[in-house]
Amino acid sequence: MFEAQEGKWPDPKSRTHDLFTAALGGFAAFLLATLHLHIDTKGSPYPFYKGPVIFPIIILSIMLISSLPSFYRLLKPAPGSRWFVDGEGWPRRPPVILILLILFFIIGINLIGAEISVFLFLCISIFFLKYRSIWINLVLPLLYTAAMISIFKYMFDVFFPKPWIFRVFGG
Amino acid sequence: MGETIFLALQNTFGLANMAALTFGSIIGIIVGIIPGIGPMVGMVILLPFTYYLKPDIALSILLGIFCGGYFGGPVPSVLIRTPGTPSNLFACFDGYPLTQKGEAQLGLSAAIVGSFAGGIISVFMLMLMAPALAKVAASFGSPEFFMVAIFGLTVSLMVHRKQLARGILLMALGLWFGTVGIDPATLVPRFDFGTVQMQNGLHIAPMCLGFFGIGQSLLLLEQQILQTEFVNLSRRTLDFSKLKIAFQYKLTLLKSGVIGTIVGLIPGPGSVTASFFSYLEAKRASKNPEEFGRGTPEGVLACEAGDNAVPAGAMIPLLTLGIPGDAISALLLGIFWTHGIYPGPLLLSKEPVLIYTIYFSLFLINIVCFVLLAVFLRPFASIVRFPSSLLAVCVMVISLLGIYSLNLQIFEMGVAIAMGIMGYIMLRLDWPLVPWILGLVLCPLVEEKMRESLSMSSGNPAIFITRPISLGFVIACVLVVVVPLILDWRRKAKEA
Repeated sequence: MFEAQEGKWPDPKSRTHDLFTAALGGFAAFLLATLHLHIDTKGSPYPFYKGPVIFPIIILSIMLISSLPSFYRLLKPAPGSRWFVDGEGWPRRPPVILILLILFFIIGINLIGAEISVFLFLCISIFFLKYRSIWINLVLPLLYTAAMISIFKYMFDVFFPKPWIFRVFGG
Repeated sequence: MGETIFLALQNTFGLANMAALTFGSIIGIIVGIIPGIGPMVGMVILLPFTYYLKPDIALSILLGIFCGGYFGGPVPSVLIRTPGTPSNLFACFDGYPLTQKGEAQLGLSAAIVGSFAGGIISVFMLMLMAPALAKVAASFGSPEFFMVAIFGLTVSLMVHRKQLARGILLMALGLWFGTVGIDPATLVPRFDFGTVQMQNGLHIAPMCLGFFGIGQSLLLLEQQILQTEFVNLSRRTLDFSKLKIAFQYKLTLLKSGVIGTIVGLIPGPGSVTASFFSYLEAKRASKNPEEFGRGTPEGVLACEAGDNAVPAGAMIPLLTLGIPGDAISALLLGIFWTHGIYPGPLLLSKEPVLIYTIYFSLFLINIVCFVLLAVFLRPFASIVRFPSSLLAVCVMVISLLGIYSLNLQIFEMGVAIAMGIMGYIMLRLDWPLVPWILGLVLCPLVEEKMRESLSMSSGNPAIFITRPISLGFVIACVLVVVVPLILDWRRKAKEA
């Protein structure tokens, strides 16, 4: 029989793990409680076992049941348990990069266009990652942006929306 | 038959296919060598590009990355004791001591020969076993397919049984993501939260690109993966005299290749398990077991042969049953579906040319990877110097533009970023991700077959235990759950 995979297993005394598990379980409980709002079965001609709700009910119930031990541990923490992830501290770089991703890709493409968004995202991210050289901070983003735009816009003929800034200034 | 093979050979050796598999192999080796990236990220990045290509060309690129990743992975294991992918961990045990002894060329030769032999053996086994399994699977009905899928999910959960509750939770979460959108059987919208975009469902590409591409990149930003300026190689290419030494361990290569293929064809365990078992078996059967861990080429080639036998092994249940063996083949299944190809028992008779093209392409990919690494060893090995944080931001850009190019929807970029946040949290917490992706990919099959089975029996779930093959899978599921738990319990009792 196969072996359980080895790895850096989560600390059993970490309450952070239980919090995330319980959050997912809570989400499943919310969906189960409000299922009639998410799946409209009024007037459905299908019996329950053929209908669209049987499978979601089963999997959401599985989600909820599998999160129950974490709910219990959150309410009654074991001695010595604490808010702990993996000993590598709280993340600093990922939240900033995530905000930049949202700024330049979700909002920026419509406002300032794909070319400027990609270039600015790369420049700011690389500067934030503490690289200080004209080649890495400026030339690399420029070349990478040119390559990406050439591939997607001209090779694959992908349509990017006309940026708001161009519409305003009549470009 | 003869005509099929001729057409498949023509496809395989066509310029487009050769270029695709060489390109895929190069990308695969590169992403395999860079610690923390791996073939999964490589495949999801190129996923949007493959939608523009013919299915056989798209598959050649992705299979090239799949196998190339396993070829490239042991290079940093041997040179800097940092596995390129998790399954290359065991190559560190003997590969790095060889480097310390000034025998890096021998360690790399063993790794490359092991990967090559494992790949070739597993393709032979794929060619032998796939038709036989397809014949058996041709008699399967909905209850049997449902139980095979459940068996696959059960095995993947039990491999991660140290986090069983979380594994089950993530598998169910993956299955839930698969239910979002219009139910294909009744055309009722489900979990669309009042948005039109959600009615189309959550496509596998933004989900996987976000989860693995962006999530892994975010993790790379904060993990200081060991990098080196010093790559200890005596020459630009592989030292071919060392290859002869590696090829001397024929029996070890054969056994490891077979072990890797068998582990690969079982849905769930994946390449880490294959590599581990191959290493253990080589050590057990070796005349010099005390050399293992101190720098023996046999240890390196055994785990790498087992490791690289997994891709072709995983193709056996994928092609014949439509059940992926691991996370990467789950992604391949999504690609088959995108191109309108539905793997299952009929695929071998419906698309014989495509199947043989895949077989021959897999052969060629192994040869191409072997030659590329042997000839351009130092340039490839130098990739370990590339800063991972720079790579991470570049991966994010290509991932997001790739997602946008699929359906021209900013919404899908949002889905990918949300999945990236989730993937990052899961990776950071070290939760098992394989059950999540298996759940996501298998959801349509599991739900459809479950509802078909219940329709056949007018809602009676006893249908799963009244049909012999289905009952066999039910028993197999029970054994897969019970036996490891008993063994774990006995081991703990002994230790106590």
